[in-house]
Amino acid sequence: MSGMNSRRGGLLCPPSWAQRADAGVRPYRNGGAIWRIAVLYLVSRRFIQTLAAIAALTALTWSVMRQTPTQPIPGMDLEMVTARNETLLLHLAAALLASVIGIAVFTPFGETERVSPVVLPVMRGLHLLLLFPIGCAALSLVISGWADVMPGVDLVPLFLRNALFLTGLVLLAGRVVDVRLVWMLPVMLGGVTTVSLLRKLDGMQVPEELWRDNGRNVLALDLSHGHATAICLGVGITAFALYIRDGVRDTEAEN
Amino acid sequence: MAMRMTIPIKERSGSTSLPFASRIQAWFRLFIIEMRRTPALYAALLIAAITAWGMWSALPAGVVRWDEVSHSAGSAMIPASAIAAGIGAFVARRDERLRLDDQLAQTAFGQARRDLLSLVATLVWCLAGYLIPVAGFFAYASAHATWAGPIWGYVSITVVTIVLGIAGGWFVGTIFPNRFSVLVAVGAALAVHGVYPLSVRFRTEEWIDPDGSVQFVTTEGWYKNLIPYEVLDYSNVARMLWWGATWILGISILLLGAAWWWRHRSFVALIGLSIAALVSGPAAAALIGEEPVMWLQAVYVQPLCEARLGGQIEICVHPEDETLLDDVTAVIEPLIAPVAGIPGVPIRFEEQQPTDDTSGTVWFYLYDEESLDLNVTSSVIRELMREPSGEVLHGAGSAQYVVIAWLLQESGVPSDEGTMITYLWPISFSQRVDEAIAAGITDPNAFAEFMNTGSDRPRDASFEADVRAAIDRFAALPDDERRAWLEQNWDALCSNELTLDDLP
Repeated sequence: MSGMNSRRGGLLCPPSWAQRADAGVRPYRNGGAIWRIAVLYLVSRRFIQTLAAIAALTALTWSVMRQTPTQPIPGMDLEMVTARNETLLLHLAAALLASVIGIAVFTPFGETERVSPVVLPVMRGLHLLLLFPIGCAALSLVISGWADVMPGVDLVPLFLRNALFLTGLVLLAGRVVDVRLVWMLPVMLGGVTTVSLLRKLDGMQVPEELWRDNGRNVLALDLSHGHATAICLGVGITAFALYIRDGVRDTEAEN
Repeated sequence: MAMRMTIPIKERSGSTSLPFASRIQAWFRLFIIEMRRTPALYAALLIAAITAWGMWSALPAGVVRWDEVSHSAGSAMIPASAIAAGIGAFVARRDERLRLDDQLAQTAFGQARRDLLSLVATLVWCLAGYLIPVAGFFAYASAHATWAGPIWGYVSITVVTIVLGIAGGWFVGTIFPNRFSVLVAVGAALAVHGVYPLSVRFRTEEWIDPDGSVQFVTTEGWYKNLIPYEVLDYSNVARMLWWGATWILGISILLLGAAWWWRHRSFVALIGLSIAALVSGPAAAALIGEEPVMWLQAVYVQPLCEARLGGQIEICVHPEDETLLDDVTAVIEPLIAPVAGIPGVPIRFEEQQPTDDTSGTVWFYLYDEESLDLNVTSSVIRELMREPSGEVLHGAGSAQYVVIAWLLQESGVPSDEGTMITYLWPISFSQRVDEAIAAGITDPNAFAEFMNTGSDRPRDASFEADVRAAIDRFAALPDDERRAWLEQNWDALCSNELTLDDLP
């Protein structure tokens, strides 16, 4: 190997990948090596299992919503029940999707990966920007099939907004604590939103009120509240950019 | 002479085990290490935040009631138990400890004991995360609530449900050690709580009416009382609390026993499984047979009363709302003062609705300080004018509308249309009432149907102008003349026999 070193700018430099491949030291050329690293990266992030988890979440959301009655039942406000189930399931789906993504971005390699050169931000970006749209697309497809019982409330954009916000929170929290633990954050926020809505349900006159919670919870406001959308987009985009640049904490002991 | 570096076996003491006190000390040290290093600390912080937020947001303004404080302690059940389940799954089968790998690798404690301490540390943190804010709010309530005491059932059921969450998570994490096991556990916990409200369709049956039409009816699921979140509402009933707590703890032991057996093949696990089966089976059978909805009956409590307007009226509130009594009297007194003492005007205003007889008493709804004005004023003006028989009328005719608007003006509340709609109803409603009375409709159902059929009619501007003019005219009358008219016509006014034309 040392014979392959070259001098550039007066410095002794290691051989390039192509030189190594030509010398038979590495079995892959550049394209093959990048492909292999990409595959190994996805394997290390349990990509297949993540897709299975998203599929399970999608199936769960779809099947649970199917249990909502479609025929009028005496003593039951069908529109309100449908709106309640749609809203609660939307919050649940967004929280669990963010949790799945939070767990999926964990790296098992620790320090080895942290000192790796520039290829990782690209991998992180591709992984996240593959995973998030897949999850959103699958669940949006289910949500778009739900009955429109809340005039003026578009559930698909609301789901995308909330999922972006919660995923952003997961990635930001993953910079501070072990990313394997930050699933708690979306579960907590989803739970708080759900419990808050359930408590106020009795006093609601029309289904749209499910999306007119107080101004403090941005997850429970519809798209007419511009500040909620701005906060969600801001948190989401910032967190995605920071994650792609720096990654997340993969252990409790990182200093 | 060479030094002996080791002690021959025959010279060692007979027992190699540590003294009892030292063993306890060793257990305790490892437990403290677990407490300091377990990731359950994060779960505790989040559970505490959820619990505190839920209890804080449930506090009414200006009054503290034990019932609400106790009930709100259960509001954190769903997210807290889901987080507990996730952290249970995360900690189970996890030997990695922060900066302690080498130390734990050399400990004399076996894996089972380390697992036990890890489980206990998780339990302690999660329960502490829940109970510390609850204790804080209970202390606040004990200092400020004026009636009754804490209802421990809500707290107890939530505590055992958090234990169940950890046990379920531990079970999942033990048999399915994977980075996604936490989400499986969280999903399972949420599914357990949500299965009842989301299974309406399963419990819906077709019903053919005698006229041949198809109806749908929803039945109570037999499994309803087995779900912790459904038990929560009835956990102030002792039987429901004990059976519910026993059932939930039994299932928790069952899950922990199964996980323990899976990992350690331990005899202790078999004992746990046996206890769980013995405990949870009868408890489940008892719960399925209960019909707790029958127990929720309001109990009339001796109210706290205050005489006002020289004893002409008496205002009463439930003892738990003692702190709101001054605010209530400040609303009712100026509203009633102009008509107090007139024969037929109510003399007693009470928060609770007595179960036996409501005649002569005006009942008002009271929640908190912020909604007090609206709730009390609208309750009082809607029930102020009763028929001589004591019945509350179905609606105020135009004459009643004018008198009520004047009373509101006198008490300092503007009587513009927006305010009147908030406290009473639109002017057009009074016009329909006049028409119903003129048509001789007295049956409540026929009256309601008549009102509904005209609800989309365009506004009658001339009638509204007449009402406005009548209000101004009535307010401008000399006090003596107005009082004399009211004394003479109060019964007719209450019976809706008067219209705008009859007003002075």
